[in-house]
Amino acid sequence: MEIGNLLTPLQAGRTDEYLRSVAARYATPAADLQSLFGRCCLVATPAFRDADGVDPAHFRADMESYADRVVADPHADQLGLDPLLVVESAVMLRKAGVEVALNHLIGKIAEELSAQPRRVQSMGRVQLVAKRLRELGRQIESVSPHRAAADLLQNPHTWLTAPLVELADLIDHLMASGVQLDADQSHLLSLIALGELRNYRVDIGSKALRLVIMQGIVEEDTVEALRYVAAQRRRDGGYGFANPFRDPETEAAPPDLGFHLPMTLNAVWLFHTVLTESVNQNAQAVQVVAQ
Amino acid sequence: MNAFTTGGAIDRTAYEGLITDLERQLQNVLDDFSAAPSRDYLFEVGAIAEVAVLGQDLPSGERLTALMRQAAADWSRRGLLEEVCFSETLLTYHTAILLLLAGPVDCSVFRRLSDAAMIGRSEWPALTQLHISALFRKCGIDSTLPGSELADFTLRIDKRCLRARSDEYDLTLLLTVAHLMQLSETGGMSSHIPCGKPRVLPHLLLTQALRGRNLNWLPILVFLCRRFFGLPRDIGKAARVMLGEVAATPGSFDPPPANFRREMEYFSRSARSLRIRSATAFAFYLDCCME
Repeated sequence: MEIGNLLTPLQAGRTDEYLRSVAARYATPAADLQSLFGRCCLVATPAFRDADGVDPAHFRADMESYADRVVADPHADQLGLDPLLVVESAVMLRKAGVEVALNHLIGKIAEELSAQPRRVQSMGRVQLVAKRLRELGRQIESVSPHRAAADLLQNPHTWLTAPLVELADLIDHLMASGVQLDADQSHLLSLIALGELRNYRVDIGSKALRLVIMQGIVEEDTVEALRYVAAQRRRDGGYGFANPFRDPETEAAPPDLGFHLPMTLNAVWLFHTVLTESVNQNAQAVQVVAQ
Repeated sequence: MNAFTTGGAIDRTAYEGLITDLERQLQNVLDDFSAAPSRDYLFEVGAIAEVAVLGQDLPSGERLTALMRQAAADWSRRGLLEEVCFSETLLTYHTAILLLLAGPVDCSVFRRLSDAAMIGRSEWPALTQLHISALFRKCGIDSTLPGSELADFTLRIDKRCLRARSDEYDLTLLLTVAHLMQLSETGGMSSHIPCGKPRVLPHLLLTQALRGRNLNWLPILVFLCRRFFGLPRDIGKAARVMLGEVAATPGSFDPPPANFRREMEYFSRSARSLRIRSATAFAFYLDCCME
C-alpha cells in the first residue's frame, strides 16, 4: 500500500507561498481564513515545520492579526467565516505545540455556539465545532444528533443515496462522535470520497476521506483517493487541474478562489491528517510510507 | 409495475412483463437492421448484444439472445456480416459479437479474410498506444509499453479511478473486461487472455451511479458487479432499493444526462439501444437474484 511522498518539505514551502499569494491577491475575509488554515496545516505538521518557506513566526503573526481583526469587527457574524476552520486550527496548533494567541476568537465562537437553539446544536457541523471547543477546554454541553442523522448512522446503504447536505452532516456527526468505522463502512466512505473527488466536489470528498483515515480502516480505495488528491498538485504549489476549455463566463468566482484555493486547503488538511492524526494500524502504515 | 414487491421479493408478473417488453423492443431493433442495414442500426444492435452475451446462460438471457441468435444467423447466411466487417475496420467489434451469437454458421469467408489479415485487426488502438508511449519516451517520460499488454490487467483497469469524471468509455471498458473474463472462464481461452479481476473501478462506478441516480448505468453495473467483479453488501442493498423504485420497463432507464459523453471514438450510442441495454442488464440482475 505504498503511496510515496504525499508532499515533500520543498513542495510544502511552495504551497505555503501559493497560499500567501492568493490571500494577498484577493484580500477577502473568507480567502484570508482559507489561506491561513492551509498554512496552519503545514505549520502544524512536524515534517513540514522547518521546510524552506514554511515560517511559523510569520504564520503566527498573520494568524494573530487576523484573529484580532475578526474579534474587533462589530459585524464579524456577517463575514461568512467558517468557525470550524478556526477551532480546527487552534486544536492543530495546540497538538503541534505551536503557540498562537487565539483565545479571544475561540471564546467568541464558544459563546455564539452556546447561544444557539438545540435544533442548531444537534447539527453535525455544530457538534464537531463543539467537540473541538471541548478539546480546547471550553465547557460546551453535549447534544444528541438529530433524528435523520441518527437514522443514517444506522443504515450504511442509505449513505450512497443521501443528498450531499445530509451526507456532509452525517460525516460531521461521525467525526464528532469519534466512533470507529468497520471495514464495510470504511470501504463505502472511501468509494464515496473518490467518486465525489472525481466530480470535483472536493469538500465532501476530502471530508469523507479524513474520516476514514482518522476513524476507519484504510484500504486500497482509500489510498487511491489519497493518490487522486496528491496527483492534483500544480507547478505553482496549488492543487486542482481545471478544464481549460470551460467557459470562464459561467464561473461564479475566479478559479483561484472558486477552485484552486479550496482544493489546496483540502489537500494539505488531508496530508496533515495522514501524517499526524492516524489512529489505526492501517493508517499508521500509510503514514510511515508517506513520510 | 416495479420489479420488487413491498416485501423485497421479485414480482414475477413485473419480471415477465419486463422480458416480454424487452423481446418486443429488441425485435424492433433487429427488424430495423434487417430491413435497412446501416451503421447506426448496427451500433444499436451492438450496444444491446454487448450486454446480452454476458447473460446468455440466464433464463431471461436465453430468451433475449434466442432472438439475437436467430437474427445474427440470418444475417450471416445472407453474407451481411462479412460485408459489414469488410467494409469498415471499426465495425469489426460488433460484427464479431454477432458472429459469436450466430452460433455454428459457415465462417469460411470470415476465415479467409482473417487469414489474409484483411479483417479482425484493429490496429488503431495499439498504434495509438505505441505512438503515445514513443512520444512520451522521447519527452523523457517512461510510459507503460504494449509489451506488458498480457500482464494482469487489474491494475491498469482500476487506475482509471484516478481520472476525473466518467463517460461511456469507462462503462465500455468494464463490459470488455467482463467479456474477456467470461471467455477466459467458460471459453477455455485462459492462455490467450490476461488474468485479473478489477475491483476498485467497478465499485467506484456503481457508487457514482447510485450517488448521481444514473439509472441507465445502474442496472448494468450492478449486474456486472454481481456476476463478475463482486458486489459489496451495502452497495448491493442500495442498488436494489433504487431499482425497486422504478417501473420494470426499458422506459425507466433513460440515457445519462447530457454532461455524460455518450459517443465513443469508434461507435455511437442511440438512446433506444441504451434503454434496452440497461433493461436487459436489469433482467439479468433479477435472474441472478433468483439463482
